[in-house]
Amino acid sequence: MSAFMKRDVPLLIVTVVGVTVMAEYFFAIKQLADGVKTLTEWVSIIFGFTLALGAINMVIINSRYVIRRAKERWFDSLLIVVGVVAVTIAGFIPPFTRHWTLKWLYDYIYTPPAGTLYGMLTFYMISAAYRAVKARNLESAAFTLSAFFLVMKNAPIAVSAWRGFTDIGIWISDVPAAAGWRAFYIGAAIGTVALTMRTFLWRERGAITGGE
Amino acid sequence: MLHCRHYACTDSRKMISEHSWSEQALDRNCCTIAQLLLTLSGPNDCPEKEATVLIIAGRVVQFVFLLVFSVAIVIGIWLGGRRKFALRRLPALEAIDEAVGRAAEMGRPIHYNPGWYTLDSVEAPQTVAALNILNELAHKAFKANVPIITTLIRPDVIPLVDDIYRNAATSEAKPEMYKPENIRYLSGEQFAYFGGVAKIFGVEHPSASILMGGYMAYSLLMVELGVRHECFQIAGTASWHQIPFFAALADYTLISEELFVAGAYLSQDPHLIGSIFGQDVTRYITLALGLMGIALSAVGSKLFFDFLKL
Repeated sequence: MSAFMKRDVPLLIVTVVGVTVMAEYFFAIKQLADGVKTLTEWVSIIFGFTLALGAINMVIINSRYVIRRAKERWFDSLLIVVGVVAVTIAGFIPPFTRHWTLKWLYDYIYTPPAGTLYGMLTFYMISAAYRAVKARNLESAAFTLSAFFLVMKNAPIAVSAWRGFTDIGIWISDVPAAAGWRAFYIGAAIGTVALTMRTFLWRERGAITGGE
Repeated sequence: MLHCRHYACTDSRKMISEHSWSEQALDRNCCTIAQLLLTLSGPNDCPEKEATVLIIAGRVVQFVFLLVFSVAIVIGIWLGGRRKFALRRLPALEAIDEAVGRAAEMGRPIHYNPGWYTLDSVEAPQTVAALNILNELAHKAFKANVPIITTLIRPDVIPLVDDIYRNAATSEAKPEMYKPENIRYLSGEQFAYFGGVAKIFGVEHPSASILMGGYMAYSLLMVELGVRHECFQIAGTASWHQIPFFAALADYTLISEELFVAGAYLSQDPHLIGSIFGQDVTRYITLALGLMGIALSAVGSKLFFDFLKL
């Protein structure tokens, strides 16, 4: 494939589409709005194809593990392949996505372990807090102190003992923490503009062209 | 024919017009640049008129800022080709070499995840930034014969990662390092995805885990998993809900804007480094505007807020 097709065409598409969508945000021009609506429909179609690509990628890699009887993983891979095949077959049974088997598979096979993992986040948070909340220097001491007041603010027994925990906790949330996340957001926004400009000017192209 | 009908108005806030051409497609207000100038000059009686250049009301200042910021960054890129800018060290990015070296010594792979968001989402720049970092990482790792296992939660990223792997392996003259089986789409559901990553960590024991891009609740599970497997971890995100988990558990963290400059920083391309200078200029402009807003608010003026609402 020529460098033009591999490097320039993807960058050209990204730039034209990006500038069009951006212009549609600012300018009330009917043709732009119609064009962006069409582009949005194309995105949905292309994303549908990428889902198929993902499923193929998953089946190929896991089938290899099963065929090779890869140590410690062939059985898990077999479950994945069987799962993908089962869900695909369920999706083809009329009335297709509304058939009860699809919902059953989701509700009784996927949801319980997903809910369990979500519930485990609490214990992971405690573990993370244990590692993070140690007064090693001035910054981490301030962090520890803030964490203490925020925990106390949310603990009914502490608040009933001293009302000041609520006031201090609210002040920490509303003043220093809010200032921090606003700075975080402004920095992210400026970074986004800069990255976009570098991409539109074809300067930073590692992601789009694979570093070509 | 495009046109925007403006109604006679007596103050700046009434300088809003309505489309007469596409009520069903765009039910939103607009104003012209001429209107903006009238607005800035104070209350006016603007006569009914038609115009062809339309900026949606409430987005005029955003548009002006975007233009100013873009010009600053373009000037930065132009200056970058003419003079050398000094960069502040970013330990998290310097640590990528350490991660590669550690993996090479231990003979283990590096795990990489470019985040949660698809390329068509509003957070897509985070994913693009993560892929730019992967591009630089792939060159360094393949040069040292270190494989990278990229696990994905979004399938639209697969072709881009494949391209990055292929080009890095070719340009480092290590074609054997291009292994499509190391690009693994695990699931579109975050907890199922995490289950897949946990299996990979348990079987393949990566020496380092690099997490970049936008994240959701599974961020904490991912870094905790890395800690339990004694992985060297570098994590970066502009998702502010998740950054505390990364800061608490990863060895090095990229916070917010740092994620977006990472590709430029690692490439050491003078033009890209110049763009970081432009980015700094925009930050100073923002800071000056913020201070101006504080000063005006302190004296009880709402002029600045009204200006931002244009």
